[in-house]
Amino acid sequence: MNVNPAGMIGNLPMASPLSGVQPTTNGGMFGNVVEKFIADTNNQQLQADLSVQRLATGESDSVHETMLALAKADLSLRVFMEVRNKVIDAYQEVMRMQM
Amino acid sequence: MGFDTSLSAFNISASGLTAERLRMEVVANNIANAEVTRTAEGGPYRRKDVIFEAVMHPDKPGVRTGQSSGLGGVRSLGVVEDSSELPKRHAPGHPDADADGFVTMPNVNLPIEMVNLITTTRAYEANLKAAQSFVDMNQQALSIVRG
Repeated sequence: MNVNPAGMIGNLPMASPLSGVQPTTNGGMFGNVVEKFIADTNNQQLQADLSVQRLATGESDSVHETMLALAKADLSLRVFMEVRNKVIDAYQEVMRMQM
Repeated sequence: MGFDTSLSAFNISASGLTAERLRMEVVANNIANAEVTRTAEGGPYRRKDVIFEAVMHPDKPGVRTGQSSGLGGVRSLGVVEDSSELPKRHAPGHPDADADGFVTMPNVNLPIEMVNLITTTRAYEANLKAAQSFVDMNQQALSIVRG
């Protein structure tokens, strides 16, 4: 039976700056994804805001479109919050890891 | 793209709601003008109806429309006039009466308009229910991650 020495662990691909994802000045891939996600969620909020404003000023006369825009904004924010909670949970799980 | 695509069922329901709202306006206009003998085009009012069309983009789903399936809901092609015969009513004292004392009345049939009113209300409700069910589905999907 061939048992690898403990020193071999250094050859495992670790998420260090030397291998794998390179952190760059304008944020890595994960940063980009989060940025886009936030922008998309924010966009839904802005659209809901705009449609409420249009309804209030009489520019638009369809109540249902405003309500659906609000529902969209609500749902997208909920999705975003769930993802954020999951990411924070994962981070805390990693930080609890025994060294 | 983004949330606009993943929440595209809302856009479809919204198009249905907009269409039914237009139909409601047309029915209300028909009822309001049921006794009108003078219009801008001359002659009595003619009953109006709406023509709907299904919107489809099967070749480019998600690109042009923001719909993941390429289904675009419904849109109205416009309001058309009912060309059926105008009924005549005997009213010699009426200012629009002809030489024989008959007045040409609008071809609006109130019982038919009432039925259209009810079906429009029900169709609006159905579209609203579809949108609400979509919200429920999404919230149930969110509960996966909550565990």
